[in-house]
Amino acid sequence: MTRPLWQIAAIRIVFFGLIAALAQMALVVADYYFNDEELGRLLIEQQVDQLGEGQVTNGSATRYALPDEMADLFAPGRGYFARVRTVDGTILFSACDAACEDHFLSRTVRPPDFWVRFIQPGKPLHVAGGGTVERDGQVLMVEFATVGDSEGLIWGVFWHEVLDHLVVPMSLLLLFAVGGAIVSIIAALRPVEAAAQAADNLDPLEVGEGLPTGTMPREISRLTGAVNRAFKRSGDLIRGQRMLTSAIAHEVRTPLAIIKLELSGIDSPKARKAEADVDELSDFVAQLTALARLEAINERQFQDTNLAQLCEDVVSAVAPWVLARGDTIAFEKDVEAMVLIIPSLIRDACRNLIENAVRHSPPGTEITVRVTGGPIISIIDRKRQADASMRPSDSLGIGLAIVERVLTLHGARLVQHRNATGMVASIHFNSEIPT
Amino acid sequence: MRILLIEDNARLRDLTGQTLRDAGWLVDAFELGEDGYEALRQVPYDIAILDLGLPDIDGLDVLRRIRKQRMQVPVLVLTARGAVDERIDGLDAGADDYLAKPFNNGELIARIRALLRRSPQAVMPELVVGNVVLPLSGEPVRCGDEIFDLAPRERGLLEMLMRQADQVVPKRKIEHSFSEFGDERSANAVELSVSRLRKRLEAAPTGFAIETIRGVGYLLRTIS
Repeated sequence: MTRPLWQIAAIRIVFFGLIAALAQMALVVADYYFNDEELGRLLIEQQVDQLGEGQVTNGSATRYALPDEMADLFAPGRGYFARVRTVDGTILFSACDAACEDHFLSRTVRPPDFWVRFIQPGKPLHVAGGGTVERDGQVLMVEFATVGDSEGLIWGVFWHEVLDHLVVPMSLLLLFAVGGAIVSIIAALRPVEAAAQAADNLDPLEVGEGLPTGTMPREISRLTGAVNRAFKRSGDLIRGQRMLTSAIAHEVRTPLAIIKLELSGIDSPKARKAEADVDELSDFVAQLTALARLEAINERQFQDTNLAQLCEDVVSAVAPWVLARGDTIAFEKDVEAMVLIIPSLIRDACRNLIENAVRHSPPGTEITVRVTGGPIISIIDRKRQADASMRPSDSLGIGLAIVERVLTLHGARLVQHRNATGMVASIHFNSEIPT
Repeated sequence: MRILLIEDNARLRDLTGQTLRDAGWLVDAFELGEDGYEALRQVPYDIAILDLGLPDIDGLDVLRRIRKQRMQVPVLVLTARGAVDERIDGLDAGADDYLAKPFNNGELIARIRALLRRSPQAVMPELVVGNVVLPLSGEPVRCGDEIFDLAPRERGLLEMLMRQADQVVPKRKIEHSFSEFGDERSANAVELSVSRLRKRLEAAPTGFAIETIRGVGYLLRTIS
């Protein structure tokens, strides 16, 4: 499965971003975990803030109600204590027995804005502290202490720190990094997309300036330059091959024509036999040049074509030759199928199959070319009587190589099977456009 | 009939020229395209036979020049290039027919005769295929000493088949020409006319057979 580059880049950025975040998180947790003083300070800060949320101010009157989520925290025996009082010393809330009073500052003391005192060093935390909280102009003094942190409140501290200093800033960074990378990649690949479309229509024989490289990133521009050079080399190769096949065709066919004309003037059965040999040789030359020519095919030669009309034309063209060989030929169509093909090649393929059917059948064979749904072209030969001397061939030799190469170019396939009366060769097309 | 032959290979030029002379035609043969083209401008040939691979100029360029000058002479292209696309190039450039090398003399002569029959500029008083003579003046069809006074539709059908002897004439083309006779049941009428024509000619030594190519049309096939 292929993914667009921007998606691959985005996935990798997110993946490595998450790894970096996990590593960072481990560092942060370790840093805090081994720094009891900082951890204690943060715990007190957090709990003071949370306790401060219970302050309710109504005009000049201040009331206090413990926040719901802390309702069970200060149950006796759990090791958590709290006290909330006003500046003038009025206690609004207290979850503190006589023993815990030792952990907090004396009521007569006006506490500083923030204080922390470690009751006992190490973990679990034994810490007390307090701070002032101001809401709507009213100041409260909030004190909190834990002896053993039985509920593991330090994890809340860790999470709060990770969220504040890691998740939020890194998410923003990741978002902008991924977004920026996607936009950059799409913008950089836009000329590559255009070049890919241009490549589909590039004719190796008329490369011209080739694929445009102007606004591409340098690395891709180098690749495109290499593709252009490869196209030019292919074009040179095809031109050379064409020149060669054309020269072969000319150099061989003209002497063959001379031999045929000379032979036609000789009244002898040996001359007729030699003429037949010349015909076979010229067919072979034609097939060879056709096979070489197939390599120069490109996308632009494909056309929407009426398959039934094409087959009717082929039957029409070969009928005089088929009848001269003593066979008959007919055309039948069940459908008017339109397919995207190179008409000249499919015409040659059908012709090859018909010629094969005629050559490997006794005189009097009925050849039928039929176009059916699929679409499928079937070349059916029906012999009038079994003839042991005319063994049907499973192979068309070079003719089959040409037919198969032509069909491969079209994403089609050849199916051959023999029945009681003869052979059926069928060309099965896909309705899809070949790519 | 006078034929222009442009072929660069001397041996093939001599043999082809001899074949054409043996068939009773006058032949002017040239090696170079430019020389052949100049001759064509000065002499009203009935047909031109043109090789494509010429040493001085591509045969297709000669063909394009001929058509650009609005010369109506039928051109039979004779070449070593035999691929379908190349044949199409030749026909697009204005060729009337295409014969790939190697060919036999019988095929060459048959193609030339077919071209002459189809040529609008060829002044032909009659069409001749095999032993059958069809006078274009409207006189009865002859085969040896036998006279066939054919109905207009059968005569029209025979003329169409003789003009394209050894080629398949599509049935729909015949139907189309029959509809000009005002016949509503043209599909059946074609089959009926072919049947009648065969019956009229079956006993005569015509030298051809009218074959049915089922699903396509009819073929007047000469029998050598």
